Order: sequence, then C-alpha cells, then structure tokens
Amino acid sequence: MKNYDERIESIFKKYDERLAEKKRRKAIILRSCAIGAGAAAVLGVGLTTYALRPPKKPASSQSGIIVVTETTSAETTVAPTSPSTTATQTTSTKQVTTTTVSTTATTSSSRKAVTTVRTTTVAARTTRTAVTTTEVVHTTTAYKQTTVMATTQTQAATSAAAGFTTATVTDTSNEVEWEMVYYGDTYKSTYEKCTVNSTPISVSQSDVGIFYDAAEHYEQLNSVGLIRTPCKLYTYKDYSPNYVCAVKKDGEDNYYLYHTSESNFGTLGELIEGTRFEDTLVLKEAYNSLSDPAEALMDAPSLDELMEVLSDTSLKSIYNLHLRNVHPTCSYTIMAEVPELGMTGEIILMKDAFYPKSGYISLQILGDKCTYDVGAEKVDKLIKMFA
Amino acid sequence: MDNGASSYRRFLAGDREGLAEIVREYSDGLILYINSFVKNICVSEELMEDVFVEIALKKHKYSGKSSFKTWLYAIARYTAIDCIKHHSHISDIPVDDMYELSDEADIENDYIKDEQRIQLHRAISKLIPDYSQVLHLVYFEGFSYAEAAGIMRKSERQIKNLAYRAKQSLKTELEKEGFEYEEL
Repeated sequence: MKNYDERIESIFKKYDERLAEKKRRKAIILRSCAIGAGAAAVLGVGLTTYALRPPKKPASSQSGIIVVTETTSAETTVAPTSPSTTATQTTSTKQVTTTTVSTTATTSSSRKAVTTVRTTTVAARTTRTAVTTTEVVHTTTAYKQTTVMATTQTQAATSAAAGFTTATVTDTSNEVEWEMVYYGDTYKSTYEKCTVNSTPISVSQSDVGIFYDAAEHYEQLNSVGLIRTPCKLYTYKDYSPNYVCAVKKDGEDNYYLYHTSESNFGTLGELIEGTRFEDTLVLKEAYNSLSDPAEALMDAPSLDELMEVLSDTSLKSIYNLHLRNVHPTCSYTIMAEVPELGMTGEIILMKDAFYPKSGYISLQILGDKCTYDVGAEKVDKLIKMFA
Repeated sequence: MDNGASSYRRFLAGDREGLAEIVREYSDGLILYINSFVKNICVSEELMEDVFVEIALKKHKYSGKSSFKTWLYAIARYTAIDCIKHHSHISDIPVDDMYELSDEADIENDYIKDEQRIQLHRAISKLIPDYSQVLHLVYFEGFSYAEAAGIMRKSERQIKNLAYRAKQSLKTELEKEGFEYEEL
C-alpha cells in the first residue's frame, strides 16, 4: 500500500502522461488533416484539368458517373497546399457546376446500388454548396469534391477485394459525413423487423417486487432498478447467447431494454426471478460512465454534440464507420476506426424491435461507454442506407 | 466546511497542492468504498488514482450542484462499475480470503482506528454490495441519506430502506461472529 506522497506522485504522473497523450493525439489528427489537404490539392489540379474537357458521351449514357461541366470561362486555379491557404491564394472566377447522372438501370447487386447512392450524395452536396457559397469557398468545395471522389475510388477497390459494401450518409444540416461499410452480401435476407407484441404481457405488482429483490443483488453491475413501477413486457428475443427483453413502464412512452444471459422465460415475472441482468440500456438517457453522471446526461444530442464528445476522445475524424450486421433481426454494429491512432469504436444501432417511437444509437469508444439516443430521424436515415 | 471544493478550486487555478490535499483527505475512504465494489484492495487503490486523474483531466465537469465529496464519490462509483463491467474477473478472490491481505489491514488500521469499527467494517464487507455501500457511505463517510442517494443514483426513500435492511443483515452477520447487538 502506497503512502500519501507516493499516491500523489503516482496520480500526477498518470495525469501528466494522459495530458501528453492527449496532446500527441491532437497532433496526429492535425497532421493527418494536413496530409489530406495536401492530397486534395494535388487531386484538385487533376480535377481542374478534367473539368476543362468536354464529355465524350452524352451524359445519360454515363450511369453513376459525376460529370463536371463548365458554364463560364475559367482561369487556372492555383492549387493550395492546405485548406487554410485556399481562401487567400485562389483567385478563380470559374464557376463549375457539378451534376450527377443517376443510374439508368438499378444494378442487380446491392453493393453497386449502395455505391450509387454514395455518388449521388456527394454530388448533391457539392451542388448545394455551389449555389449558396461565395466564389472562394466554391473553389474550396471543388477540392473537397475531388477528395471524396478519390476516396470513393480507393474504397471501391477495397470493397471489391474484401467483399464489403459501402454507403455514405450525409447529414446535410450538420455537414458531417458518415461513411459506412457493412460486411457480407446477405444482410437483406437475414434482416427481419421485430414487431411489437400486440398483446403485451401484463406484469403485476408482485412481479415487480420479485424483480426488485432479485435485481438488488446485482445492481452494482447494472441499472436494473430503473424498473420499479408496474410495467409491461412487450417482447423478448433470443440473441444467443443473450436474451433481450423490452419493457414499457406504465404511463411512460419510453421502452427499456434489458439484456440477460439466462434461458427463455414465459413472463416478465419468471424472467425477473431467474435472471441475472448483465446490462441495461435505457432510451432517452445516456451517460458517460467516467464523467460526472449528472452532467453527462444527454437527451437526443445533435450530431454536432456527438462530434464534440468524439473530439474529446480523439475520434474527431470519423471517416471510416464500418457497419456490421451482428443481430440479423434488428441490430447493427458500426465500427468506427481511426487507423493511424490504432483506435476502434463501436456503434450499436437498433431499430423498430424495441423502439417504435425512437431510434437508438449506442456508441462505445475505447472501453468508455457512451450511450446516445440520436432520434428516429437520423436512425431512419442510417437504416435506409442498408435496410 | 466545503469538503475539498476550495482545494479543488485552487487546483483548477493551477496549484497542484490543491489536488494533493484532496488526495490526502479522501484517498483512504475512496479505496475502501471502491473496494466494496471490486473486492480487491490493490485494484481499488489503482481505481482511486484513476478517479483523481479523472477529476484532474476533466476540470470543467464539476458544476457545484452537489458537494464536492458527493461528486467525488459518484465518480468513484462509476469508475468502479466501469471496471467491473470491463474486467469481470476482478472479484474472483473469495471475500473470506480478502481479510488476509495485508494491504487492506493496513488501510483499515490507518483509516479506521478503532478495533471494534474494524471488525464492523469487515462484517460489512461480507454483505451484498448494495448493503455494504450504503453503510459505508452513511456510517463511515458521514453522508446524509440524500447525498448517498445522489451517489448511488437511488431515491432517498430507497436509501433509507436499503440502510434499514443493511443494518438487519449486518446484525445477523455480527451475531454469527459472537457480537452482541447492543455493542453497535
């Protein structure tokens, strides 16, 4: 056992190390941003050259390809070396309108179809920016577009090799782009919406009492004490080796989800009596377990707020969100990776099975569990990309 | 009595001695409290350090809505729960064996001077976690029911009920070891 001085020394040592680590990660992110900007500048020159050429074929025959056409005469744009210099060095008066020709025939494989969606999204975003932004920003957008296109090509090659399917979700209100890759081609056949039981099992007060007593012993491991009022069990599902049940408290709209590792049960009372709950997820309530519990509560945070949290955990640049179909019925896991940092995060996405009114996203980064409810709208947007 | 809030404010202002004062004041109690979760005194000591590193790093998080001590113990609770979730193998040492660990004996002797209270503490640690935690907070650390409720994220009434049942359970435990209830 350490004495006080040793403890203090050890705490400050850890404190200094964590501070240094934080600074190091910030520096890495900045460096990778700078590298990305440099690549964008190089590719921007290529795009400018390409844009000056007329298309060889009618646009309608070029399915899924972004066509850049020049509407006014343009001066040569000097490619900047970083985003910060773009605004000052570029004097272009060129106005480039980017349009996308949608796919004329839906391709038979889902992989290609989703890739098309990605292309469309990028183009739509660029077009919107072109209409609303100033001339200088316009040029910057062109570089940004170039970057995205290059990324697309790279990832398309990766996908073909590894059997991934890619999709991009762009949140237009927040200008945050989430890129997803889900694994395997059979997700459609395994996807099955869980429907809420139309005749929920009623739970008596005695069942609740049983629950209370049984749960008390394990409360240090979870928050099962949240159900201490009469409630109804809506459904439970076998996600072997775990079981999950959804419960709705009387008088509340929210649904509560409980994970167990025990066997199947007929009623909530049986479930409660014989179950050791391992985890509890609660809708519309979130916490960062290592922060002040009171202040970390977030109710339906915006994507901006989510990004704020992510920046605090050095995941500021989420440019690779990998989506994996872990629970065929209604749940997906998105892996967030920042390769140069050697970090991975995990987003569990659930829909419909237990949440008829609200979507749900749980985000786990480096063992620190952060849970967020991002609202049905955004989840719908995410789900539609692959469901 | 600001329970360390002024020391913490000094630390926020750049005086490291402020945090050192808090460590001297609360580290022992935190170790014992965390130990009621993880049942391993060495891990508890590590987690105690993590709690202080956490409050040092996230300086903006303390809002002053609760007392500093309550806030500190709430973070300790979350840190302990987090540790249990991620390392479920931690509590693989039987509780009975824990008493032989010299480190725990040391800290008990330092922090809980009275022999009878040491026996009491050991009996408490045999109780289920919720019982031992509520007793530790209310009777060792001197938190009010309301403050303990804030830390354990329960209602005040639940804490009162829990404390009552914990005392009943403790009575049984002590009687098994030959204590007279009146001695408490």
